[in-house]
Amino acid sequence: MKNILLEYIKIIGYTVVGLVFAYSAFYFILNFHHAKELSRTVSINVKENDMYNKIANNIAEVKGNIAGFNSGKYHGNVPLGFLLTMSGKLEICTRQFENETFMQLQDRTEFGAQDIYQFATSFQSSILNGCLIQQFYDLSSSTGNEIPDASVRSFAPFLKTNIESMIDSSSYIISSYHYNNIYYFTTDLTNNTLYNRSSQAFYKTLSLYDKSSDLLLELSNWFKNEVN
Amino acid sequence: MKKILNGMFCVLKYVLLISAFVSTLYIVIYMFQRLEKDLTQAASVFIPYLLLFILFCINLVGRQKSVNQNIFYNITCCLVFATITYCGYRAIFDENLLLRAKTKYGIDFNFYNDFIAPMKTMLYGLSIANICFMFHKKEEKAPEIPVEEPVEQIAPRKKRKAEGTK
Repeated sequence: MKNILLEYIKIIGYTVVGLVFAYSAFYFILNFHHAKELSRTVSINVKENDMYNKIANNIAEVKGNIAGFNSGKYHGNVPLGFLLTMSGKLEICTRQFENETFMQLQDRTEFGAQDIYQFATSFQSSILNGCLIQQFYDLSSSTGNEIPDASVRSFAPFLKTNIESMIDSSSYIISSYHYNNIYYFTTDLTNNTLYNRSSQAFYKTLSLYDKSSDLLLELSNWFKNEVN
Repeated sequence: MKKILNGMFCVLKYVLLISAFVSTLYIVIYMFQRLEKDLTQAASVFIPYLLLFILFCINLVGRQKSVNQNIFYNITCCLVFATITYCGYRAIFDENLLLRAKTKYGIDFNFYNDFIAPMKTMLYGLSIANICFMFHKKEEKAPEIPVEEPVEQIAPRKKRKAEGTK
């Protein structure tokens, strides 16, 4: 009787070890697989990307528009102080666009999760906060009397809507991309989701850069027309 | 060969146990400090470790061959501790886990927190199996075989007998 009991205990012991072995092997392999999936890179040739080239051209054009301004020769209706402020703001924005992360893009063809995340956060800090919100949000949310020029006044609500939509979009990109550490049974579907999320986050962020550069170009065109 | 492998896994088991424990201790204490939680609440994470420590000590002191020389148990222990160490390593060093970058703690707590429950399950499983293997049948002693006298000693007697009969 005692021997049978001992045999049963032994069987239970081996069963528990077997289950633990299977469970830990599953977790070990799953973690390897998840780490491998996350380290997959997205291949994008930025130099040949139309959107990237368009942004670079827009910024070059903005720079050209504000370069020709000579405050001494201006005799228009808009107060000189307002124009000088606008010129300074546009200049700050072009500098923000030429930030390190954005300029480094053209030298690269492979992007990992960490790179894309940095690219997206860089947009939030440099372009959205440093340029659009700090420089132009007050202009876009002013009631009307503060803006001396009618065309800028009509442009202000459009600017506001765009800035607010970009705040939402960039927050969405980053927050949806954060949770790449959650994994369960890895299927082809989740693999594709992880991979596609990286690719989508990159293009969405690039499109936000594009949208911002378009806004700047609009403002700089108005500035150029007013000054010349 | 089996003995060498078993010895290797037996040593590796203790090394990996220490590394798994240290990584868990570091992450959990750091996590509780950052979240300003009471450290006594973290005790439940370390109870299975404590239990295993005690059982391993009993195995070592009691020289329990049924556990120490069980190659399957030793391999499973190595695998469990390696998994825990690897998860700890990923939580601290894997840069592709983006919450690690967002929170700027240097550790992805969210990732490790998901792993605590499976970790406890595996450690308790090892403890249960260890206790089960402690109970085993005592090896019965083999019956003593009577030792025959050497042929050289018998031979002279036979000679003497033969000579006597003559």
